Parts: sequence; structure tokens; C-alpha cells
Amino acid sequence: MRTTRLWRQVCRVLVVLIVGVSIGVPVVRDVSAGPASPRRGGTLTAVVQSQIINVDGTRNGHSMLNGLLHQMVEGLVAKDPSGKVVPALATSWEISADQKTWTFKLRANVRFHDGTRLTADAVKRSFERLLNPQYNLDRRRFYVGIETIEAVDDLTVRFRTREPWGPLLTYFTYIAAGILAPSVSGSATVTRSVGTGPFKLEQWVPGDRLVMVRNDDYWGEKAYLDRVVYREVPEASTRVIMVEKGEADLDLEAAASEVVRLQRARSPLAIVNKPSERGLSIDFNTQKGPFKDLRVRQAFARAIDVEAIIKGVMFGQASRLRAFPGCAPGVTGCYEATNLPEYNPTKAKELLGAAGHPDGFEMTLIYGAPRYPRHKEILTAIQGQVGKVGIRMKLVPYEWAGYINELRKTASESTWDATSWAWASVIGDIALNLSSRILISNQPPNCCNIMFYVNERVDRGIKLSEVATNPRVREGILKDVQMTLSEQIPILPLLTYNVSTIASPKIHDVEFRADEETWFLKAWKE
Amino acid sequence: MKTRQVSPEMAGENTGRLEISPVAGRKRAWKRFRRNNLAVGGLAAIAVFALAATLAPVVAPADPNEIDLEAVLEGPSGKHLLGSDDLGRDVLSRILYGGRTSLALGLVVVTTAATTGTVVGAVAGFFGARTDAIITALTDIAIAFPAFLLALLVLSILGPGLFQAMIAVGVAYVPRFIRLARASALGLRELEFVLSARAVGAGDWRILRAHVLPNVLGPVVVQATLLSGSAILIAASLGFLGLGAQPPVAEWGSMISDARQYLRQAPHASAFPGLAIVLVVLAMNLVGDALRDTLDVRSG
Amino acid sequence: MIQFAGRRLVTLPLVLLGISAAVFVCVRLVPGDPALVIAGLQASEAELVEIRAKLGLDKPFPAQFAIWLSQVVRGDLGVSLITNTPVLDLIKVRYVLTFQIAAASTVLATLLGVVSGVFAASRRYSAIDGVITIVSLLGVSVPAFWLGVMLMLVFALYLNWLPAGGADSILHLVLPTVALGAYSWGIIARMTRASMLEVLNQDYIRTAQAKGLAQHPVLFRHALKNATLPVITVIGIQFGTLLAGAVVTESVFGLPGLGALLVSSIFQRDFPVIQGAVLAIATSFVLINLFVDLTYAWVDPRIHY
Repeated sequence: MRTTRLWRQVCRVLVVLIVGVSIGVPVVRDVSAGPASPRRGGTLTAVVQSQIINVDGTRNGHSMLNGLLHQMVEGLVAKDPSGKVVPALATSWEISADQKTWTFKLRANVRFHDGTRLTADAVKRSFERLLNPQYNLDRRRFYVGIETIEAVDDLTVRFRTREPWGPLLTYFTYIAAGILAPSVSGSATVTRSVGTGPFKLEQWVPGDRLVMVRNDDYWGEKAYLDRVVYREVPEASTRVIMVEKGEADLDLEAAASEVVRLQRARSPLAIVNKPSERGLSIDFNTQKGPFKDLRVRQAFARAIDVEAIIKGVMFGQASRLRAFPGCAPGVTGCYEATNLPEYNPTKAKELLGAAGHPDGFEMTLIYGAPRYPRHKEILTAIQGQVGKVGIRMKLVPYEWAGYINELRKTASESTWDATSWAWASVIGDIALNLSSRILISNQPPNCCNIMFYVNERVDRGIKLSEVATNPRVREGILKDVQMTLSEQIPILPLLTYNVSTIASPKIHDVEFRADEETWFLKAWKE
Repeated sequence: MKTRQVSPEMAGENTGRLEISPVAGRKRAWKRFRRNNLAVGGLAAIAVFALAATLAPVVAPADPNEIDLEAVLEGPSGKHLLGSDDLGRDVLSRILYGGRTSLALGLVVVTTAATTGTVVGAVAGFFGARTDAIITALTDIAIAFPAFLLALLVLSILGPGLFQAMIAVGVAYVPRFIRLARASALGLRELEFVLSARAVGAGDWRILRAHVLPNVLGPVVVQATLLSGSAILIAASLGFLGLGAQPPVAEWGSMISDARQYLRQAPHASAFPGLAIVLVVLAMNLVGDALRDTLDVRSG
Repeated sequence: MIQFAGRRLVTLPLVLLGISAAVFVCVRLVPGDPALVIAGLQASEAELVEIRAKLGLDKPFPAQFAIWLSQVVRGDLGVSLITNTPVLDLIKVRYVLTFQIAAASTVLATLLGVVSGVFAASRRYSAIDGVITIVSLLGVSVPAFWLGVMLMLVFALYLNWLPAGGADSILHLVLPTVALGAYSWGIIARMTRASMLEVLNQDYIRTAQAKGLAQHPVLFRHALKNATLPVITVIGIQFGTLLAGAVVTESVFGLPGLGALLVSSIFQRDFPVIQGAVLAIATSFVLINLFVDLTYAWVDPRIHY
């Protein structure tokens, strides 16, 4: 950093402080702070980049969509803002001695948006829809551990699982386990999400907007806002302009460059910046090509300066990831690695020499575009960095459908040496990601051990963790697994993105949760 | 309801349409071109661009692919005359090196599309009737075919690459030129000089080649020069598919589309390559203007 | 002429059939499986096979096409594979919006373009000509998103005269219309100028002028008619292109238009939506081209088909 720039920045900060203190102008503030008394009424407009592709939590989705749906559909249990499991539609629960039977007592006098009552039967039907093999619902695979569901009486539901299922409650907080009204849970496709939540669906225009209105018959504390509108606006700068103008109140997926620009311009807009769960990694083809050799993988890792990339390419809006991608505060089972190879280009060259590549080698890295923020730029920076130790990297982008097609190719068919993508934890427990990406049985054409990584011990460990009910034992197993993975680096974790929201100063008490979902129950607008 | 309007010849006017010898015609054309200062200026500008691009390794102040993560998105300064891009690379150097790819792209795409389209369109307009009907139907199909899908198709058949991007964009442009050439040919078909050429015994193809095509070129040249800039930008928008130049290769279009994310923060990153494109299009238009004049046989 | 129009209308269904078939085959040839997009990455091969069967994607292409065709003639464009909402509803709203913007910007561009083109041609090499030339070339070569964002910053943010994003009111359509109109204007202006110059340069015009005759009306009108052909052509091309949706402008202004729908449906391999959108766009193109061809004949009566 140049001294003049630093000096200028210092001066600016001083000026702001002095001026700010004397005039009392708020600089950058957190959305939760502000005047004390909430006002009833008003419409909150949120602009988003991601498409609202369905209104059905049992299908493929993402955290923005899950948060949206959670305003309308609730589960038996929920997570409080810090990530702890708390009662929602169920008031209490019991686990049997053999750990395979869970009995939930439902809250009384709860109604769905269509007026029908919440009963154990409704819960049963909702789950049966999720588990129905004919419906091919994407999230069904998370819940196949459930063997039967029984409506014991009007307000008591009993679940039996095939094996003891430790993280069941966590899985029940996820949107896929949300309880839908019997009027919609009878079919595979749901185009109206009729749940019990504090907001009801008023209008959904795919590709344009989704409008929710307050549910005045909600069983709990009623929401303050009359209406919440989600609008799809694909361009990052347009979303910010809309918030700056007051046409929108929240930009839920603000771009890093806009966040930095607003911070530098000392805008009165509120900026909420937190690490997300999305961890970007480089995944190596461990069965074909130069990365079969661990030393070559380590050399690659040592050639990359992730800190510089975070600072220069991500404008500081990311954090170094040393755990398995998907790990974040609030995600259970994570282990922060201490043995990941650090930036050391000299060592990298040595390793390459030892592995038989004294003059470097050529490789192909494929990726799906455009999907993750600044992905191409991050990969280009990496291309430059590894180029300095002799690794000549060719970058091959694919549009997403073509990319996932490539990833289903078996080892002998695969055309690439490395790939790069980002994963979130989805349900807040890293074991799901581990089993998905590391199990030997999940190699292509299945998903997602696309590294073709085969390690019997790790495989056993992951399978054990699925049935371990003692949390400490489970943690121990997962730690062991992750330690091995960070030594072997079939997956090289790079960074975790920040999730940023830009908000109008008139909005208060929006809940920005650890799992990246945004909830509006307590939100209000001046 | 076809009323034969009075044609210039029949009115007894001198049309100046003498059969000048080819050599003398060319010399006169070049002289006329030279007199047009703007055209010469345009040609010179293009020459300068082309030269700068070819000599980029000599002229460029820095390595266009030298990443400097400490100095991203800096404005013009002593170190970076036109500023640095989002990876700290020198914008000026990237414009110079990128010129090779971009100029080639713009030129090749537009020239091939124009040539193909003109021939097909002239044939359609000139021969009329069934030929026209078939070609028009096929053109309608081609024009309605989504460009993005076409790009994916090219990608799946030919694989990724710059040349493949040229094909994808070129093919997408052909229908325009077909329509333009056809329109002119339709208008020319009934003109006296065509009828008199036929009377003299010239075959259809000769008339097409000697009389129709040259006269159809006017609008085609205008459209071609105008599209050269768009070609570069469209090719860049296909970059995420793998078509076109991939990192770290510099290319004006991808420089612009990459800098889209921070238009407000660092406009220079997209403004300067954009300016380069604008200047090239301007120069090509001026040249095209003069070219039309010189080729326009009817102006004697 | 009527005969000609009639003949073309008869070929209309053939053209639509042709484009539908072409797109139908191409989306299935291109690698990428809608079942995978719908079910997500982690679906097993068995699940994918089931989904493909449910969607009818395992049948041979001609059979699939026949099924689709039989539905279309009954007015049923099917249901989106991704959102499960009816394709017709998706397209209707977007088509109307896109049509409004395309028509408005083409009309604007035509008026301004023709006027400025004639003006520039009549004062060739003057300062006015230079200014008009440069501005129209800027309109054509400035990247669409640049123009869009600049307009938005100036008129929506700093001056606060107009809204920034979305399509809720007429005011929302002003900036996109201007952005798209700038591009069309550039082309129309340049083409008009070039055509006018060809007219003005024609020897017999100059001879008539030299002879002291005021622009001989009959001859002048001839040449003029011939000169308008390329201008009408580009107006038609521009209008058609805009009807197919200007993806970048739609993205910048957050407009739920046809272009965005087409691109995202191709991206997601949402076959029914792709077919429906292409059908709508192809119909527009054929009708526009027919109209343009009829206009040629009307403008220049020597033209016959």
C-alpha cells in the first residue's frame, strides 16, 4: 500500500469521525440498531440476484430461497438466530431408549393459510409427500432414514427411523421438512406454498417477483410488515441504485465491489457483512493426471497466495478457509485444519522437482460459469500464481448444465485435472457434505466425489458418524476424517465468501441468520 | 398493378453510365478515395491500430498478464497510463495486445458474414419467385434461431476457442446481410441497365456478378462497419461458455464485460477498451463511407 | 401483391414448423440434461432415468416432437420443467413488455434516425454531419450495459427523474427505450445517410441540378424510393431483434422480458419454455419480414414478387 493512499485514508477517517461526531450523522450502521418503537404496516421490497425457481422447499434451492420460504412454511422445530434448535410447530419432543423413535407434541390451534387446522395427520401427509419415491423430490434423500410416520393422536406425531439418527432435529429445521397443508401436499408439484408461517403467498410471477402478505391468523407474535416483496434484479449495480433511491429496501445479495464502494463513500445505507457458508475450493482429479501424486497437490497448494487473492480480488469480502468447504460458525462437526500447506512458492518448486516435474507441467481446470462471485477472477489470479512455479494452467469454463454433465463422467472419461466450485453446508452439519463429496460410492456417475478419491478409512469414518448418537464420539470421528482430508487434500479449501446485504436506513430488525437465511418476523419499516 | 415508371434513360438524361475500361476506372476510384480526407484519416487510424497491435510486444509498457494484487483498479497514473484492471494488470498493455485478437475478430466475423450474406441475398432478390421464397423462409428460420443456442451448438460441435466464437457470431449475423442484399437486389432487378444487359445477351450470373453485386454493396458496407464493434462485444459475452479468448489472453470485449461489475467504482477499466472499440468502428465507418463512394458505379 | 402476401402467409406455418423442429433437435443435441438440472447434482442415475421417463424425454425425437406439436395446435404450450408453471402465462406477460419497449424504441429510433440521416446527408462534411456521425456511431459501439447504467445513474439516481429498475409503470420503460433506441438510431441514421448520399450523388440528379432544374421531382422520387429500401430493411431487422429480447438491457434494468426468459430457459434446458419462446419470436419475425417485403413493393412499385 502506498503511503499517500494510506495517509489519505487516515485523513478521511479522521474527518468523518470529527464531522460525524459533531453533526451526529450515522456512518455505517447495523440494521438492528435504531429508534425503539416498531411501526406496524408498510411494504418491504427486497431485490435479489438468484432466481426464485420454485416455491417448494423439497426441491433444489439455495439459502435466499430457503429463507423466503421459511416466512411461509414452518417445520416442527426451527433454529434460533444463533443456530440452536428451538420449538416451532412442535412444543416438545421425546426420544425413545433405542434412539429410533421420536415423538413430537404439536402446538394447538395452529392454522394453515387456507384455514385448515394443523394436525398430526397433516404433518404425516407432508412428510409422506417428501418421502414419496414417485415424486422424485430432490431433498428426499436427506430424509430416507425415516421409516414410518404415525399420527398417534390429533396433536402427537411419532417418527421411527431405521437407524439411530443423531442429527434428526437439525434436519427437521431445514425447509424441506416444513409442514405443508394437506390441500397441497397431495401432489408432486407445489406452486402455492400453503404453510403456517407469519406470511402468506399472495403472488408469484416466476422470473419477476414474489409477494407475501402478513398472516393475521399466525399462531405467534404477528409480523409488523404488511407485505414483503422479493424482486429479481440480476444486475448488481442496479440493485444498489434501487436501494439508494428508495425503490427497494434491501439488496440481499450485494456484490463485493458495491459493498466496498459504499463503505468508501461513507454511504448512509446500512451494510451487513458476514461470512457465509459457501466455501470455494479446488478439487483435484486424484485418479488421472498429474494430481495423482500428493506432492503435486501440495505443490499447487503452496503456490497459491489466498490472502492476496482475498485482499485484491475479493476486496477483502471473504475469509481464508482452512476447514472443509461448507464449514462456518454455527455448522456442527467442523474441524479447523492446522496442517494445510501454506503459501511458499520455493517449497512448491521443490515438491514439483521431487515429484518428477522439474520444469512444471500443463493442466486443465474446468469450472461452471457464471455461478460464484468473482470466480473467473479468482481462478485467473491462481493461474498467474501457479504459473510462477511452472504449472501452466488452462482455464476452461462451461455453462452450468454442461459443467454438471462433465462432472458425471467416470475417471477414464474425465477430461480435466482440477475443478473449482463452492459448497455450503445446507443443513448446518458438515457430515452431509463429507458423505456427499468423499464417500467412495459417490464417485461419478454419482455425485459428488468427483475427485475420484478412494480412502477406505475415511469412508468408514464418515459412515460411522452417520449412526453415532453420542455427540462427542461423533465429533471425534469427524475430526479424524477432516484431519486426514487436510493432509491428503483431494479438496483444497480456499476461501469462504461473505454474504452482504445493503439496507435502507428505514428498515429495522431484519434477522440475518447464521445459515444465510433472512427472516422478517420482527422486521419493521419507518 | 405494375405501372412502369419513367426511367432516367427513357427520359433522355445522360446517366453517365459509360463502359469505362477497368484500369482507368480503378485509377479514378483511388484518386477519389484519396481526395476524401476523412477516409484517409480513417484508414490511417486503422493502420495505426493494426500496427500498434502487431508491435504490441515492443510498444507495450508492461506484461499484459502481470498480475499485481496490491494494485487493483487503480486509476490512470504514472505507472499505469490508463490505469490497472481488477487483477492489477496494465490496461494500456492489455489494450495493445488485445488489439490483435479483437481487430481480427471484428474484421473476420463481419467480412465473412457480409460476404456470405450478400451473395445469398443478391441471389434471392435477383432471381425472385421460388428461389426467393425458399431463401426467405430459410432466412426467417435462421433469424429466429436463438443466438445463445447457436453458440451452444457451435460449442458442442466445434469445441471452445476464439475461432469457434467467430463462427458463432458470424453465422448469427449472416441473415441480416441476406435481407439487406436482397432488398437492394429487388430494387435493381427492374432497372434498365439490367434489362439492356440481358438484351445484349448477358447471362443471369454475369449480370449478378457485374451489375447487381457492386450496387448492392453500399448498404452492406455500412452495416458491416457498424457491426464490427458489436461483433467484438457479442463474442465477449459468449466467453463464459468457453467460446472466445480465455484468461489470461487480453481481448477488448472481455475486458469490457469483466469490468462491468465495477462500472461505478472504476469506470476506466471498461471505458478505455470501450473507447478503443468506438475509435475502430468510427475509423471503419469513415473508410466504408468513402469506399461506397468509390464503388458506386452509378455516380460515374 | 395480395397474392404474394397470401403465398407468404401459407408458408408461415411451414417456417414455424421448421424453426420449432430445428430448435427442438438442437436443444436435445447440446450436452446438458434437464432431468439433472431439475433433480440436482446429487440425483442418482436411477432417479434421473425415472424423471426423464416422466417428462417423456426418453422417447425418440420425432415422437417427442409430435407430442409437443399436438399440444401446441390445441393451444397448450406445456408447463415449465423448472417452475412447473404454464409456459403460455410465462411468455404472455413477457412478450407484452418486450413488445412495448421494442416498438417504442424502434419508433423513436426511426423518427430521429431518418431525420438526422437526411440532415447529415444534405450537409455532408459539415460540422453537423460530423457531430451526427460521431453520436450515431457512439450509439452503435458503446456497450449496452454501459449505456444502460450511465442512463440509470444520471436520470434515475442523480437527477431522480425516473425509476431505476423493474417494469411497473410507463416511466419504468423510458430509460430502457432510450438505451435500446440509441443503438437502433445509430444504425438507421447511418443507413439513411448513406442511402441519401447515393441518391444525391446520382449523375442524373446532378445533371438536372446543373441544368438549373429544381430537383426533378419524378427522377428524384425514384431514386429516393430505391434508397429507402435498405433503411426499411434495417428498421425491420432492428425491430425484430428487439422483439427477440435485448438480454443485456433487460438485465441492467431488471425487466422481466422475453430475452431474459429465452436465455435462462436455454441455460436451464427448460425445453417447453424454450420452444414456446422461440415460437413467439419466430412468429414475430416472419410477420415483420412479410410486412417489410410488402412495404418494399408499396414504396417502389417497380418491385414485384
